[in-house]
Parts: sequence; structure tokens; C-alpha cells
Amino acid sequence: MEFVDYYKVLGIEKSATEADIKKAYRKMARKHHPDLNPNDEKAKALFQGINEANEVLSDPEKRKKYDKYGKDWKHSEEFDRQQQQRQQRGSTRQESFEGYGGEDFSSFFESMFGARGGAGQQRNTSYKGQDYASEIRLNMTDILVSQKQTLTVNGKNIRITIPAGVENGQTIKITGHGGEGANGGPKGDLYISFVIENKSNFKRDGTNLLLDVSIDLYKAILGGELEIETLNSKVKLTVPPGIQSGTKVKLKGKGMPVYKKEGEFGDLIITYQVKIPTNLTEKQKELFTEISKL
Amino acid sequence: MEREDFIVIHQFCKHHTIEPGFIHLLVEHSIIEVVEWEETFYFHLDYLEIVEKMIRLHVDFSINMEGLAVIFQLLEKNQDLQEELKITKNRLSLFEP
Repeated sequence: MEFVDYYKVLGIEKSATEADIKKAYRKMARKHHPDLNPNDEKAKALFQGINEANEVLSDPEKRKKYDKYGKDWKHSEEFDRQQQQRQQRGSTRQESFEGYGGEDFSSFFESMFGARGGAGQQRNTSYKGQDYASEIRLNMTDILVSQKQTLTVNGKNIRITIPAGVENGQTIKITGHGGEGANGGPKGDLYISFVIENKSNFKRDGTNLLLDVSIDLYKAILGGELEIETLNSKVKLTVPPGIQSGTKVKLKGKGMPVYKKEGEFGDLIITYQVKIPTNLTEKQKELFTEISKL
Repeated sequence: MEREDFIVIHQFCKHHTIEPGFIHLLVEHSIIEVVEWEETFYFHLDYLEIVEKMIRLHVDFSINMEGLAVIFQLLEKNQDLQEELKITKNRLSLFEP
């Protein structure tokens, strides 16, 4: 358990007045409020720290205890005893961000003040639970068909269906699989974002796949047949004579599946790249020269 | 439209200890829409997240309805831009070796 410098968290001096604390808190909270920074786990974590710092520093009694025993929290029980003798326990809080992950105090906080701070007036408002975020990494070949996967979120197994054709960077929401709601509010949601790794020769442009295919000069001039591999099969192509480098051919329905539209696929767009032979033999040079004079 | 997908506004307000007027202001500012069945007002479950977000911002920062409407619009714009950024990044990767 690490000591948390609440003054540093709020960016204020130890001598800060109540007004300074309030001002610093509002400024920081505005910057890192989870509602203003959706899907930003870093902001959420920072916000919890800011909330916790305010919880302590805006309450004169807690602040006094923190200032006295902050770095030496293990001896803070002595402080509690003194306070009990003075029968001064209990106070009201002016404001807090309860209900937005506000229950998640650091172990340092809980050690000094108890799980909920041991005092405080709670807002009765009920809120939806905390939203969770998770990331799934898949290969492009994994998303050619819809597949079921089991995720473990906070110790619970959740079986989800990953729709075919999911995009790189796409986020899907699984309703009701987040944290418990506060004061009887509904559960939060689980947001899963996908990272689609592409180790193939294809490039993805939405539902279309792009592929550069090299053909030698002779096939480009004379035409011929060619076999290429798509993501999940092989296709025979007829190359017409006299094809130019950069010519595009569209193979309908051979691209990526269209997200949540079963049976629909994008196209595979092939770009021919004509390879000019290098290191010609003397004989080849002679023949090319002859052709060029025809 | 299934009725179970809708939330009764007066029950929601009671549960969250807010004035029903707050919800009606959200409607006035085109943040959400409500429907009326047999003299009872409802909003769709899809609006729950945004209504709760607006309540939190209103309570936590003392933001008035005009401010909430602006935030709502900016958050929507931000979401659209994030989507555009995702598409742009994916397209940009086409030109990476």
C-alpha cells in the first residue's frame, strides 16, 4: 500500500484554503470527469484519485487526520481514539462524485478512513454501475465468420458473439455486464474494442480487400492464366493480352464479410503490377532490340 | 415498439430524486424524446445512458440546461470525430508498407 499525496493529486500546496481546494477540485474534475472523457480509462482512474483527494481534503476532520498521519497511516487509530473521546465524530460532505466509481477508493484511503470514509452524507441518487472496457485482438482471418468467445470480466465468464467483419478499432457494447449500480441503479455496460491484426498480403479498405499481384512482362504482353489465393480459397484468373501495370480487376464478393449482414461480402480488388525483367542475357537484349525495330 | 423498452418518467424521477421538469427540459433542448401512452410519459431505454449522464453533469458541476445541451452536442460531435478518426487511421494503414 502506497502513500497517496492528495495535495499533489489536486495540484495544491499544503497550506491551501478550503476555497483553494474547492477550486482545484472543480478544475481537475472538469478535466477528467468520465462523462466528458468517454472510454478513457486513464481519465477514469485519475478522476477516482481526484475524488478521493477531495473527499479527504474538503473535510476538515479528515484533512487534519491526513496531515497528521498521512505518511504514517498505521498509527492513525490513535487519532481516532482521541477523536472519539472528544465526541466529534461525523461530518457532512459538501459535494462528491459518488455513484461514478466513487466507491473505488485506494487501499491507502480505506486504511485511514474505512471503506466509505467512516462519515459523510450520501446522495440518494441511484446511478448506473461503472462501465468496463476490454480489448480483444484478432487476426483478419478470425473475423471471416461470426464466432463465439468467452471473456472473463471481473471473475465472471461472459460468452459473446463476435460478428464477422468487425472493423479494426470498432467498439461494441454489451449491456448490463459492467459494475453493479449504486443505490439500486442498473448495472453498467461492458465496452469491447477490437484490434484486428493483419498479417496477410491483403490490405483492408472497409469491406473491400486490396491485393497487388505481380505478373511477368511476357504474361502481361501475351496474356495467360494465373492462380491467386483469397483469404479463404483460391481463384483462377485469366489475364488478357496487353495488360498495363496498375490495371485493377474486381472480384465480386471475395472481400470481407459485411458487418451484421449475413451472406454479404465486399469485393477483392486486384491491382496488376508488371515486373520488368532485369539482368537480361545478351540474347534477350538482342531480341528486345529486334522487336523494338519492328 | 415494446412497452417494456420504455421507462416511466415519474418513476425514474422518484428513483433518482429529481424533478420531472428536468426530463422535460431535456426534451425541450432536443436531447431526448418522450412518448405518451394512456396519460403516462415514457422515454426509451436507449436514452437512459444520456439522461443519467446529464443528471451527473447537472449535479456534479451545477451546469444548467443550456450548458448541458452544448455539452451533449459537443460529446456527439466528439463521438463522430472519433469514428471518423478510426476510419481515417484504417485507410491510412493502406499506404503503410
